[in-house]
Amino acid sequence: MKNFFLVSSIVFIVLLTAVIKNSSKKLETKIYDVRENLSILSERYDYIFLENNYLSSPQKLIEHKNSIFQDEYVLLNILDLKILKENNGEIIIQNFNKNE
Amino acid sequence: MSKHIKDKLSLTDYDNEFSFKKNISNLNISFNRVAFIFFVFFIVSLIFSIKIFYFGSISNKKISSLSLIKKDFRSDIVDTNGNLIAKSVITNNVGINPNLVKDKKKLLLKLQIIFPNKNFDQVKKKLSKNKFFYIEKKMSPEKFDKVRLLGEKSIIPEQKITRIYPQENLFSHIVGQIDDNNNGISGVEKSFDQELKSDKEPLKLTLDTNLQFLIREELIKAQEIFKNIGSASILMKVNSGEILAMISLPDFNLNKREEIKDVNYINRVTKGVYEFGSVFKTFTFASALNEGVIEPDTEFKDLPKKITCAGKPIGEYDNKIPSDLTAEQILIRSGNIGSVRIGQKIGKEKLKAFLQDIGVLNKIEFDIEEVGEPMPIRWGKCKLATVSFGHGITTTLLQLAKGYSIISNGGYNIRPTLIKRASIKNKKERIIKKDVSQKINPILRKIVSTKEGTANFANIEGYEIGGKTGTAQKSVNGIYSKNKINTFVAVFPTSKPKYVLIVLLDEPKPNKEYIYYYKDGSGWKYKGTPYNTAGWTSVEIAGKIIERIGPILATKYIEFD
Repeated sequence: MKNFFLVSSIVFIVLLTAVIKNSSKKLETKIYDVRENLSILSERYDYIFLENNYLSSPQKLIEHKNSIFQDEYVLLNILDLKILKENNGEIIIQNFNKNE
Repeated sequence: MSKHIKDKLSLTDYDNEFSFKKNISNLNISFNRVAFIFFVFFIVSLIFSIKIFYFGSISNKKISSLSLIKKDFRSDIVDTNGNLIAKSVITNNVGINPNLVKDKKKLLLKLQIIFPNKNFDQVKKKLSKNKFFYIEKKMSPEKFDKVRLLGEKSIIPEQKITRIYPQENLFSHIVGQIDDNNNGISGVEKSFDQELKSDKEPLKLTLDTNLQFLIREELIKAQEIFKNIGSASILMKVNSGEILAMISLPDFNLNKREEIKDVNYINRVTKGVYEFGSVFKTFTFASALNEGVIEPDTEFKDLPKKITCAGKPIGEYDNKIPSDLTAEQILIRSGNIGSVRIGQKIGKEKLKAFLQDIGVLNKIEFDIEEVGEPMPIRWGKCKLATVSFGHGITTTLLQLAKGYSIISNGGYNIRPTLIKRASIKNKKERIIKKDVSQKINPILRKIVSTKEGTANFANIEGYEIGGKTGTAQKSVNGIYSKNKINTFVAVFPTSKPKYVLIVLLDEPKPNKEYIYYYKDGSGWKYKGTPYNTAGWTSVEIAGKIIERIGPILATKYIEFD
């Protein structure tokens, strides 16, 4: 009985170890894949972000604008700006600059 | 025969029974072995179980950060809106170690497919020399992968960090550069070298790319109009010291990595030390208010047009200036003799202490190392007189901005900064009396809004601009030259100051063709620059800058009640 118990426990442990090792290996592979994918995606995002920053820099935007439109930009008059405020369901329109 | 065998068998059985004790001992040994194996398996399974638990409990953020660790790391630098100012990219280089090449012909054939435009005669020569050489630097990732897939032992792939500045010239004086070993050698790259190497998050600056661009554009236009050799501007929040824009012209493209030795490329905001002239009169006036020796309506009678100090004459810029003036009128009309009288009322010790308190006399502690040191002053009676109207005293544009911020923000000390911090923990420390700002801000407004003032061209409707002009002769090796430094310090809105903007033009020249548009609502125009003073040069440019950046400041940086 003792021998049987010992042998069966060893077999059980061996099987358990095999199962655990196998599942941990699978997990490791999965994590590695995720990491690699993340790293590739992050690198790709970085390059796209850099390109976006370069192409949308004020210098480039003005260059694009000048190549398409000949008109100058019209300056925004601050006195035309208003502030919308909501107070108990009521919308209040305020002048942007209260002092002038 | 069979009986004999049987007897033999029974004898064997007897032997076994006889060695029963010995067998028990054997059983003990085998039990220990089993326990040992059991223990080994138990430990192994325990290790893997712990590993499973570890992978289960690790957070996603940690996993992603682990995957991004690179050997040569340097975090990005971004502006206040998250736009890239500096970015690290890994460039791929590929070299060949000829000693490891097994089949040179085969290798060359393979490489010819990947690099069809390369001169392979040279590659052949290098291969025969048996010395390591680079076949290509800064390769595209696709090509790099192709080379790696060749599986040749002799091909040595190498990855190196390279810094890219997508805004090119825009932040050249601030950001600085790095060397080939990923060490910062100037600007923010140098001052924050350790943080950039260790922090995963980008370094966020207080600068705004759009504001920086608009101000730079106006300074470039100014250079075309007034033919100045250089210019500079700083836009800073008066309450926090956060710098929104800082430009010094001429600048340079950081991506070209040129070694610049021409002194004209100096950072005119932080490194250049100048005598700014009349903009210092505001400090004299503020000091006198702080000491309680004058009030804005204090009268000064019979002011002479000229005085002498140690044999040197001190005169008025404008001889039409009245002899009887109030303290307020002295500042509005930028009177030299009146300012000397105010200075004499304060006394040299108190004026010196005041200038020290607001941080214009000594070297400033700043986020970049390229900082100039104001010239030491030997205080005496004559020095007190000249310092009172801004001559014989030098400082940097950055310190001038700090001084004006303190005077207009209610007297609170600030530390100019380029670094955006989540929260400014420093407790507000008031270093001058509160009423100084309350008295001085309306006077700064009058300098811009009234006809007697010297800065009418900056009177842009809706922004409540106040400020002070300063025209100073440039000194070369201690001798004053005819060339000028024209400066305008604007503070706005004067009812509750938020920003200080300074425009400096280095050696501007009058322009006969330039047309000035009066800002008093008269619709008048004036052709040509009559005087080479700040009022006709720096003020005009500051007005144009505020017209362009004003809507951004008003809408983006609005603080709702």
